[in-house]
Amino acid sequence: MTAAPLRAAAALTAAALALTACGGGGNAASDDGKSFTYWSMWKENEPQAQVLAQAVADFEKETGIDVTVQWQGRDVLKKVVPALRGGDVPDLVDQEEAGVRANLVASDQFRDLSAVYAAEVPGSGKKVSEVVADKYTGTLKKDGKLFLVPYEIIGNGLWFDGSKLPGAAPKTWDELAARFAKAKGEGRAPIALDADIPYYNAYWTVGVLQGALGAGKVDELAKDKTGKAWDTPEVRAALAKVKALVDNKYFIDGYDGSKWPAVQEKWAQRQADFLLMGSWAPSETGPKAAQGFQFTFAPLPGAKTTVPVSNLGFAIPKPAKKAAAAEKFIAYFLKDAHLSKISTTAKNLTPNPALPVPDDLKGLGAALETLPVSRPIDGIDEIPGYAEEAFYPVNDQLIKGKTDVDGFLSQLAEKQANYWKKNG
Amino acid sequence: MRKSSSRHGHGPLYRGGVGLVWLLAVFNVGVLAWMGVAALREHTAIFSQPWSLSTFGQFGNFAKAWSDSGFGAAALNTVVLVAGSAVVLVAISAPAAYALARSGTRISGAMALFFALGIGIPVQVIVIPLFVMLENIGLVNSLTGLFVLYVALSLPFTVFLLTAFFGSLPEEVEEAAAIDGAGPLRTFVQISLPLARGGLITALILNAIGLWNETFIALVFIQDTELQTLPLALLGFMQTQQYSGADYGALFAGVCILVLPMLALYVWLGRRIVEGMTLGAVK
Amino acid sequence: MAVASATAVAGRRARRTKASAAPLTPLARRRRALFWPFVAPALALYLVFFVGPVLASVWISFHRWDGVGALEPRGVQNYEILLDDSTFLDSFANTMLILVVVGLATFAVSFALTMVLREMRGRKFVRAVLFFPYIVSPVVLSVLWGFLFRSPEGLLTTLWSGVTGATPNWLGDNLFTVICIGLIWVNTGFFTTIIMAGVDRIPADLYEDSALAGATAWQRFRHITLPLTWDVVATAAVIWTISSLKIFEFIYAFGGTTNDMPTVEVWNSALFIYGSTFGGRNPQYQFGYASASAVVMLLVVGVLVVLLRRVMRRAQIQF
Repeated sequence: MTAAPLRAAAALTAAALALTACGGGGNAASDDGKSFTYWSMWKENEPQAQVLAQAVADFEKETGIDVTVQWQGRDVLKKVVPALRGGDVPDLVDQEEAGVRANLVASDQFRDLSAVYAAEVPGSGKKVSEVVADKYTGTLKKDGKLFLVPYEIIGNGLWFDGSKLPGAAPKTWDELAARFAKAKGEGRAPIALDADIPYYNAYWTVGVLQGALGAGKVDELAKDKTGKAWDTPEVRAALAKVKALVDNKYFIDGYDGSKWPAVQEKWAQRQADFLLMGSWAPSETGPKAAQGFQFTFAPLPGAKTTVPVSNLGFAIPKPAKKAAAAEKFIAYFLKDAHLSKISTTAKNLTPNPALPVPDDLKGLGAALETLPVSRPIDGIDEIPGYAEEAFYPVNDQLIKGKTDVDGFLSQLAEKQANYWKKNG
Repeated sequence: MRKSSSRHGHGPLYRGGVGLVWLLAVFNVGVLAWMGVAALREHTAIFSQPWSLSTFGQFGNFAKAWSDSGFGAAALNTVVLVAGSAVVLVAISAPAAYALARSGTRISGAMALFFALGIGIPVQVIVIPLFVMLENIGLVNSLTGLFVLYVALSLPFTVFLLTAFFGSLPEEVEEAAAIDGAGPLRTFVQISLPLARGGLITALILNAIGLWNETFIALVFIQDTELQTLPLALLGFMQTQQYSGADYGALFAGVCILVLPMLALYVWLGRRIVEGMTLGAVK
Repeated sequence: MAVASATAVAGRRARRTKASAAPLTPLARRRRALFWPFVAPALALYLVFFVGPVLASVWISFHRWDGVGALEPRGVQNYEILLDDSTFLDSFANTMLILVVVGLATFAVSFALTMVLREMRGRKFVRAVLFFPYIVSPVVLSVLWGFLFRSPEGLLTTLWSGVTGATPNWLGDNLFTVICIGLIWVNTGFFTTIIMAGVDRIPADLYEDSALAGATAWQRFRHITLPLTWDVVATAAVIWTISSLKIFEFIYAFGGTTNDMPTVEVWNSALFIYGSTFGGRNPQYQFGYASASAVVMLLVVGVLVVLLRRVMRRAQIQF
């Protein structure tokens, strides 16, 4: 009986070799400005991909430049890095700024996009730098060189169902704590959290710390080589607030024994009041939300309230051969006609404040007009490996109620010192 | 085959053991069945009532998984690639294993161990040198390159497995053939290979299963979405959960698309795996 | 499985080597002529695509390298840091824990299953079903595993609380234990099949005679099953030792989303290597350091395998 499958397999092998013989060729053509390659972080059927695909089609028609798009998905930059050593890199990529920073900026493999910022958005009479709000580009520089042009803004904060929890957003931590206490008293779970994701746990701790210390301070603490800089009265007070959330059992039952996305979907089903999350919360949980659920945003309040934001945008790898054409497309995509679809079709915030804001994100849009911005978990996840090896394990224990403020500080000091010893 | 008399005199311990074994078997089948059922249910229901049948019958999950992540092209790529590399792999490993098992020199013993050490090397360690190498010969982002890698990286295990297998075959038949005047090449092709059929099929299937599920190498070496394999398609699909929202129904449908062909292969040839293993063990 | 007889082969080879002092048979001599042509293709592939990159990695391990820029020589500094890095040492401890504890448990369960399966009805079917986790992608298995152990609504959690009244927080408090149990579950089918192959060749009358002589089940196991399957067990142990170090996907998939590494407390050395290179939302790309850790692991495996073979051989003599 082995003969038949073997023969079939042999035939398949031959077919494989024939098929792939034509797959190996690289595009060795030089920059004639007539074409470029774009690797996207989206998969073809996602709304953002549809918006981008439409823009690509229009761009090709108007300019005659040929765009080859690969819908790579979220791991797009992990594919770019090996190719940086002399391979065929794409001429244009997109990802969240933290990913671009880790994959391209850290190794100095990005193209300075200052020229794009100085270029005109076709037909608008405005420069790119005038379309993209200044407050978002503050973090997008390395040594004065801009590495990203954003087209979608992610903001972090508290989400709740506006139809069930009316009234003004809590302005201070005490107001928020009172809301939690009230919910608990009425038998509802105040907070939903998928605690199997260390990054989400860090939203709470770092968010409260940012509120107490201001933007960028946690990042400084994380960069202390001894790990002892954390032990200050301000930090202790902030950590005590987080610890109180755990001690008062404000997190929904089972938050620490579940698998994402179970808990955030319980929240969308109105089983908990608040969710601390990025502005993808409505699009991630929207289809699973209870009827009449009104996604409403409020910044996590503190003495120095900020809105942590992150940019999703375009970057160009340094070895890209057809960068000029790619730069042209970046400016082209920022035209209102295309960029506004990130808001209307993909239901996300754009970096152009003049464009409409999706209904679910109205609160976020308003907060961003008035409040200063910071980075999600203050950017400590962008110190390579620091969060995974030092901060997350300790913070998980705090959030899951397995350690207290003293334990947090002493363990973090130890792990952080270990981290900097090997990475210093 | 076993005489029924050997079943006498079983204590309660044994009967309890039988019960536990069946429980485990039921568990395994149950897990599989649950996955199949979940693939046809609606996302929120899977989470809120994981063990019920409500919302069963969402055949759209399969359509969604299939169309959203290009499973069609990926399925073809994977079948061709996996079948091709498993066959070539065995074709290259079998002579080597035979030589290592039969030549009986000091060097062959050392070399067998040398091959075996390769089993323990995590591929993450060698992926960058490999990438540079394949880049230089123009085999990055091509199924040919992936094919070469799959064959090369599966060699250690296959050679190790087949060496032991050839070593366990009786030498007498070969010696008889030699006395009849058959050359060593003919002895290998006409006598040893057919005798080792069970082992070859075992190697073929175990490798096919491993390569079918292989994700990391494909992720690094394949850039073109038209060239992606099924695990890559599934991974890409799982990743759209970030920002675009999870749909576990469709996710499990995607998982089924990945698992069912292997399950079919296993049901079809599984007896052979066990036979191959058994034959190899019985000297 | 086929490999189950490797030790036996080794023994036979030793005998043959002794015999090779005598003049070679014509068959053996002609076989020698075929040795290189037969081995060459596999060896060439192995050297080019495996040994070469490994040597490159050893070379890289003496440098600091982000995979893109130039290599900065660091001497043995990577190794010094490694032996003082609590993250690596914890991962290493987990690897050893998996190797020893999961290994012993897997073998114990496999033996127990074999003893039961040997005589029960439907053994072929059951054996095939037990093998099944091995053919499913580990990522898929761990998604399922997570569903079973979710608290409070996972199936096993529900069952557990039904029996004991307590609702333990498996994934929160005992994640590593849950992962270990999962690994035992996945690997048992594979090793049961191997060990069963060894047990099946023991003549049935040996058991019948001993049963007539009044031997207990334990005595039969100790004096018949174990000694007569020892070579199979020895080889299976080598396979487990080598392959347990590479266990990756099953643990990795407990990381929440596809982007996140699981918590560092459950890392083994393979995850450490991945975490130091490609893993996480923002990868570290420390190829020099990761290579050093891989070299250390490779050395450890080498030593362990040699030791294991010694111990197993000595134990065999005692039977």
